[in-house]
Amino acid sequence: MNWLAIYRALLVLYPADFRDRFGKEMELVFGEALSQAQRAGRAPAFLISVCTDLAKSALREHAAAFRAGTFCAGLAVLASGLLLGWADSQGGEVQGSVLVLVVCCGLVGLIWRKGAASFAVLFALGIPLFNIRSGHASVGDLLFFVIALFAVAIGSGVRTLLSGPFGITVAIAMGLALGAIDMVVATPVIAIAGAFLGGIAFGRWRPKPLKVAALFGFFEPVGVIVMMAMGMHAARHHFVFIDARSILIAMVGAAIGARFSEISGIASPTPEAA
Amino acid sequence: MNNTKLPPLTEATFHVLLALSEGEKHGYGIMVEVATQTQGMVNLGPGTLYGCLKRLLEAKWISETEHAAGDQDVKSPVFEERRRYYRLSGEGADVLKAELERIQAITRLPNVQRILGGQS
Repeated sequence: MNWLAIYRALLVLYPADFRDRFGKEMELVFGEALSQAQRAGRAPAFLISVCTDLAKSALREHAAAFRAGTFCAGLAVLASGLLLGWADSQGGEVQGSVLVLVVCCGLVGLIWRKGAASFAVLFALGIPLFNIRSGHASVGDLLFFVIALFAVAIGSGVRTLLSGPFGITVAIAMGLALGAIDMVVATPVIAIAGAFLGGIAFGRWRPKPLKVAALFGFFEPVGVIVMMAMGMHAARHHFVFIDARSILIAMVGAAIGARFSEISGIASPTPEAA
Repeated sequence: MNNTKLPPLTEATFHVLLALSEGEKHGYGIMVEVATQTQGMVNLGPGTLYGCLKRLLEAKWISETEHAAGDQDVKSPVFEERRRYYRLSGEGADVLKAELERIQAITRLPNVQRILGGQS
């Protein structure tokens, strides 16, 4: 079994800044220590101790990253997590809650380097908190924490992937996917929010974040057009109006998101891009 | 800086500083040195080790260096790219000295002397 590849994958559990700075060295140290443990015939004990160390140190680093955040970022995490938790708990359906949780935490993991895990925990906390208040709390609510952190980890992993040369392709693909979602849900809010979030996410690819964000914004309505061409559009007779407007909304939303990303610094460039 | 007012160091921090007191080392070198100096009682995992190094770097108690002279591993291009070495800064040496003096002062306490004497 390739333990080094498994350990490399598990490094996604650490905050992105920490991983960017020390991840490669940690892999190297793990590889050397594993070789030594294998020679000494105590590889199983070593692997167990590494798993324990990984769980404890990842939590500690996330806590440190949260403490290192600015007051406004912390306040934003607290407010948005609890607000979304409350909004989610109002739906009353477990499936809906999980979907909202996964989507929100995944997106936050994708765009927010420092506060994603904290956001996920607070978001997940919001659901049982308000369920307790409404008398619908259960032990199963604890599952939300696991789901939220898992979604953040996936989002964070995708983010790492996106920092490579596939960024522009993924921007286009996400634009198309968002267009398909927009077709299903038929709400401009999706287009606006999606384009804005996409602009933030793609804004980190310097030196041309606006171009990448514009690609995302442009391909969102293209996704609608493609789905409509396949006979799956829900509002065929609104095509011209909706999509002329969507192109404008999506591109402006993406451009604002990209600019917001630049000036706020919430999505600082990766070492590769810097 | 008055190091006597610092809180006691954590176990990992203390042993990492102690390991670096003998000269600059890379991550695995520190891990091995800590295990050696504690006779295998303290084994730092990669996560704990680098978390500790991060905090020590932020506190400027240690600093990074390009590579250690004479290290055979540095000849490997992979290691050249990834491997960083760490060394104790002047401030870090002061902190370590203060911590060792604190421990030494504890060992001079009468009840500690009695316990240690009883054990021997």
